Amino acid sequence: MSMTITREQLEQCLSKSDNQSVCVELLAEATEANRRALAPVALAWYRTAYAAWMGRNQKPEITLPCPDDAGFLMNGIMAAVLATATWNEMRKLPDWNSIDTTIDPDVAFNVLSARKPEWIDEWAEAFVTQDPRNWHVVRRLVRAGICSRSDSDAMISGMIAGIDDVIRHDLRGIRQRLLDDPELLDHEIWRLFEVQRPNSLNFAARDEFRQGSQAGWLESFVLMANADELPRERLLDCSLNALECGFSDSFARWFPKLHEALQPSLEERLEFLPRYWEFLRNANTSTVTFALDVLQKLDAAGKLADEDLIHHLPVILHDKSKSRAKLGLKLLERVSKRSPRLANDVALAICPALSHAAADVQEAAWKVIDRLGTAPAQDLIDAVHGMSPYIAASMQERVQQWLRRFGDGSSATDLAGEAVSAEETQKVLDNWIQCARALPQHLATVAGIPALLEAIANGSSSVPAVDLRSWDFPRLVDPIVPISSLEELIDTCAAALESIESADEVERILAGISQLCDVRPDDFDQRTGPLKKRTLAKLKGHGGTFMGDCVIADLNATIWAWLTGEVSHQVIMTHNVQNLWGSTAGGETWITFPPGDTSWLRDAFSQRALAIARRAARRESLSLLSAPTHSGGWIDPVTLVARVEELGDRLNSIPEFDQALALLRLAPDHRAAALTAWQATPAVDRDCEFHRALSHALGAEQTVVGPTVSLWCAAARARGAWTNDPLVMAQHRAAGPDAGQAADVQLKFHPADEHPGKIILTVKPQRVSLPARPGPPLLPAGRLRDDFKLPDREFANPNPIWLLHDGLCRFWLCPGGPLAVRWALTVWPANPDPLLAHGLFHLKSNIDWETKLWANRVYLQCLLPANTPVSPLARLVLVVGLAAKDSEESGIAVDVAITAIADGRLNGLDLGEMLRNVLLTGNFKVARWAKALKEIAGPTVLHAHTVSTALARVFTGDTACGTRDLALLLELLHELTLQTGLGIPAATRDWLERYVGTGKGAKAVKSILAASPVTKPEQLRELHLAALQARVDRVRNWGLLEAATEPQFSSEPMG
Amino acid sequence: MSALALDYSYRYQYASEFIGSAGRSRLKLATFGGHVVNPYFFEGRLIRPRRTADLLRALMEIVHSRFHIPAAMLARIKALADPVVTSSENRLRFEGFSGCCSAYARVDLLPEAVDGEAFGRGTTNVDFNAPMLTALARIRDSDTVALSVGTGEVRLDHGDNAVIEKKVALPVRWLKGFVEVQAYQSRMQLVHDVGGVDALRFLRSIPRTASKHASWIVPSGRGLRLSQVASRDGVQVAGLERVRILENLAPLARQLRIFGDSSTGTAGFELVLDEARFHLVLSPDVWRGFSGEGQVLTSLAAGDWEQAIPIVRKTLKWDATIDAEAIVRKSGLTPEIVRGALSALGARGLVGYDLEAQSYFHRELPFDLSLLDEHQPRLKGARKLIAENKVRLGTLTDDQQELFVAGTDVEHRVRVSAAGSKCTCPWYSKHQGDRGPCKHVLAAQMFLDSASPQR
Repeated sequence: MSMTITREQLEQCLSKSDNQSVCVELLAEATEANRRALAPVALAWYRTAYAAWMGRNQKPEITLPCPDDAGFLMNGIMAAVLATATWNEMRKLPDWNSIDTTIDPDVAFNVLSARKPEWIDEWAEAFVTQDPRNWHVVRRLVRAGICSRSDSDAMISGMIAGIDDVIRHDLRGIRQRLLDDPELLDHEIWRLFEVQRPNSLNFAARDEFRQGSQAGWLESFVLMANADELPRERLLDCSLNALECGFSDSFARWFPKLHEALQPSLEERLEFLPRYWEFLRNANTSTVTFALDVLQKLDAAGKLADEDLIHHLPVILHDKSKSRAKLGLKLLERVSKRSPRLANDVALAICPALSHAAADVQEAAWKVIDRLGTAPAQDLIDAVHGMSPYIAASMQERVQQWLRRFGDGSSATDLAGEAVSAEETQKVLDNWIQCARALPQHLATVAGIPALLEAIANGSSSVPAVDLRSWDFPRLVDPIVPISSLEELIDTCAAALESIESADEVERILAGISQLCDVRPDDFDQRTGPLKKRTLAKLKGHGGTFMGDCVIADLNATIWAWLTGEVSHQVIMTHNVQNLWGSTAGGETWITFPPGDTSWLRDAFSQRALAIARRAARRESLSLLSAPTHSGGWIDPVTLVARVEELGDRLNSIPEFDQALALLRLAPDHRAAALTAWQATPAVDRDCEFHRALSHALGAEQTVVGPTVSLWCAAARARGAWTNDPLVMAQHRAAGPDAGQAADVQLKFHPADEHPGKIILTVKPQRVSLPARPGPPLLPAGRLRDDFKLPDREFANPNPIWLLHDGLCRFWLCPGGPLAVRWALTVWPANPDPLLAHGLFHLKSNIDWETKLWANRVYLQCLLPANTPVSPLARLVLVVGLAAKDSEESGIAVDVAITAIADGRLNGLDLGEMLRNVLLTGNFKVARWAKALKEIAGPTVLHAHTVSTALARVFTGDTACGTRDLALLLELLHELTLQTGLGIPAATRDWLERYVGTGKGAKAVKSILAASPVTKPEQLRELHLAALQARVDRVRNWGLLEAATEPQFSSEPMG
Repeated sequence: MSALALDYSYRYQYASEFIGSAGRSRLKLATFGGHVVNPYFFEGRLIRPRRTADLLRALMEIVHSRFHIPAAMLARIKALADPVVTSSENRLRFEGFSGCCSAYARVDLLPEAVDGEAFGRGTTNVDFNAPMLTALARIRDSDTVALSVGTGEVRLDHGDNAVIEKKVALPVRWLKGFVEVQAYQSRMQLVHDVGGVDALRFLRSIPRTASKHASWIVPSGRGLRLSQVASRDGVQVAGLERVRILENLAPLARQLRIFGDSSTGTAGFELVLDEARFHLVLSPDVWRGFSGEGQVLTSLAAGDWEQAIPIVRKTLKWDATIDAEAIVRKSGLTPEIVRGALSALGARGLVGYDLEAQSYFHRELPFDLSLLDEHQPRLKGARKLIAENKVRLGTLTDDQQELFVAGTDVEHRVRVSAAGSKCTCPWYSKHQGDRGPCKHVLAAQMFLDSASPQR
């Protein structure tokens, strides 16, 4: 008779260091009623010990003997819980599901064998679901008759782990372990063919990563089939059943291997034939490949009916894989050879291959159709005619000839139709030429219209690119509507706290706070209560404030300062006897991690936001001098003049960085009007350096250049973004690139055999070397010394131009990475080149998407707007982007290329030259370029022509023949040459004739050289029309802008 | 019904099965629910069995998919709901909804797909079990496959004919999504219409990896391509992995139509086969189910269409397309009220929307949806706020009424004007009304509605 165990006895056992064995021993003979009475004790011990072990601040339910070592007690406590609690109680314990898997298997078996609880099946299911390796414990319980046999998905998955448990070092091997548990061979083993399992429990993965000499699953099954331990016929059947279950490809690919390893006889294969046919339509490529291989064997053995091949194989001709489609063609061709009576049927069956995306599949298909279709039936002619729009350019001529020969005249009708349409195109083109000639000359010149008209007049297919590195067209496109009321400011801030992606919106909010911070109606607190609460919550979630860490955190902290009058700042806090950096606001402090490795530019944003926050906290309203008036960061010069006038003496309180920023952001629009207004205003103080810099920026002559470098660098760049400024150059000689002297960016591409992938970017004149941005000082360990002071990390002389050119801006390392880059692009909206230099580095170093750097795509996105110049550096960034592995990143690059080609900023020669240079460096995946370029060539004739020209340029000079996947580019060039009707330039022909190599590349080269593309006048007209239309539209838009934005001299409300 | 899920028992008379061999077989679909317990809708044969089987398997692929698995849901990743079938005047429609509530699929079998006799009209659940789906994969077009939806035989609930019972907890958000997707479809416009080859090429060009950001499907030459840039002539799609399900069906299709609604970011795809249609409707993102969109909350709160609903409902006769104009003529109601009533009926699971016909069709989901309104959390929250007197009037100006609604620790300020309502709560700040009104706005509206006679 068993004794009743008391709470004290149990607690005594639980307190011991080897509590597991003593607890099991203690409870072994206990009655169920006694166990249940002890359950609350065990559960309380679990909860308390677990909380202590995890360092959770939780009120203890019991007093642990040694709270710091609670982890050591867990094993015994878990055993006690298992021995006393119900499943319902256990599952409610924190982390029980993951922790109970650590219970010693023997302990679990012994405890549950002794208890035989009703809930054991539910426990077993959860135990195996949590960790499939627990299956062997459950299996022991099943075999002991304590637990029910289950064939649930989890249990079957667990069986794989249990039988094939490499961790337990069971030397019996899979086969022996199965034979030792013969019940499994009746049912469970066949369920393995029906249940999709996680990757780690997938047969293929288990066999692939098997180490040592033990037989894997495949080998074990074959051995067992050969030894009649498992029915071979059923295995064969199940291996095919598994392919019909909708498993993923990685899971399903093992089953055909088993099927083949069982070596089905010809008769057996014929029995399975209907299923092989159906596998041709399977979603998994491995299954399709398997079926094709088997069918090929059967066909070679003469076991397939020709009619069946004709009926079933067309589905494979659509296949994405060229080799599978070609194999299908090969099998059908065999049919046509052995059964000439079926020639028309075979040709018809092959027709879908004419719409295959790969030209060589189409070519292979056409060869068969052409051979078979010497006297084609009408249905074949119709089918070929139906496919003709999808046929590759290299095939078109042959197919059209065939259609003309056998067709019913529909092709001739098409040609007549084309002639009519060509005439119409010419008329339309003439009209556009007339329009272009009537456009304002200064704008037409910037848009490259005269050069294009000349090309059109000469019948040249060369489309000159539009170089927008000019001040002669308007930039003020989308006005930013300033925040004009407190209500609007509250709403805008509330929305920004939840989500903000636009740099314009960041500036709008900063300007709004700066302007409206003194508006304090009586119900201010009531109206802003919810916003205040939310701001604090967001502040705590975004890390450090005003420490160059995160644009979003700085913005939120500025909102907080406006709302509460408190400026959040850094503190040192003690947590778990450690000194840590923290930020504080609203009486709360939270841990932050100061960025140790960032640029001054991001810090500059923080410092600017901090200055606004401090003013807002003091409720000192002031117009934000550098706030953009238009999207992209631009400031209307007339507005800036008005702001300066309004500020008067308070200009002195504006930080130097803000003053320089305001100048850098000046748009070229309305300069003359602004200068006139500025010179007429009585507020102008010739002694004020900013006033003089503003005059200089607006175009005033003979200005006396002052000593403040940042102001004069900005003024020089505002005066002419891409030109030298002799006055500033004379005064500030060693001020670096884009000071007085415009930056000269030089690119050097190292050949692949020297430094693969190496591109050197040099900027002249030499960059100003800035002091290293100090990282956070190490905090002393232990008690903080009284004399410890936080360092002043403000940069004394933040020149925006220097910051843009300084080192690498590691913007992506913060939560608002993309937003930080977008804001940086508004610092100098005229010229993104300094930031593109950073972007180039980031894109290139992450080209294989090793890290998820979402901010990188902003460097490509900034090239999308039609007014952004595509400089050589921008082209390089674009070409690198086209080779990116991430489909979204390369997708943006494709979008940029398509947009820039359409609006004339990018032409084939420039794109080709950059591609060629980068190709020379090696280390870029050519296949990615080929895919991207094919997509870029798609939208219009202009795009096809541009890519064709670019590729022709790639294959010139010293481009290496042996570059991997070069054939893909050559094949594309071949198709585009024929599609556009452009001939091959002499330099390209020369390169092609010197080409040394074999295989696809050599074949493509041969085809290009053999082709005699016919220049189609209608295509040339279409090309000219597309190019001209885009440019005329561009100039018209500029003209409309100029007319619509007449300068306003009244005082404006912008903050 | 718990707060999060409706406990539902499917009680099929038998398990759906695919039986037979040697080219002659039968697809027996078991039914449950609707106007009768186990309705008998159809008896006939599949004209192109393989293609129909492919469509039904694709539908089930959607039903069994969870394109987004929140961390807390890992243990419950299996979708357990069966699809529903509607037998109407000239077609069988099978509808399903993904477990994550972000994808809706429908297969319309036209008269060219099935040849037989319809014994009844209505909507019911159909049992789509794994063995039957596997067997469907073996159907060949040359087979003769009979199809029955339900059975005319009387079966006894014992012995070999035991009822197949499947107990599931249908998440309320799943049910809500299923009804709310209709409201989205009614706003979509046809944007792209391409041939089968172009459709296949486009679908094959979709990246294999799951996408993080939205893409736009835009025209390129004669076909389509994916762009990463927002475009007026494009259709926004996020979670492209959901579209890839169409890839296997594309070789069967002669046309692909793509519908879009730029205001909500939802997209609809219709594969046109000679004998059938396959529809796929996607929510704005994989993690955003249709159920969370709250598009019908305002109408549920306002109840403007309550009086018209019985009148409009009476005119529905399991029509494959509902002629709204005919209802206007018959009922004497205004077109706006009829449209509103149809929309409200959609929100109650009583009509579906057909993108191709751009009209509603009669279909009554075989679930008890009467409690659904109660389980709109925002609506429930708003009613609670009213009940607890947590709404008070603020200032009334010429163009707006200010109200204050108590929140947690703070009082939210709601402004109701002709241009719309605004609130200071995080929900409104985040979505700016795009995903329906917040509970504070709903409460404010209810408060004003109840106070209007006095005002």
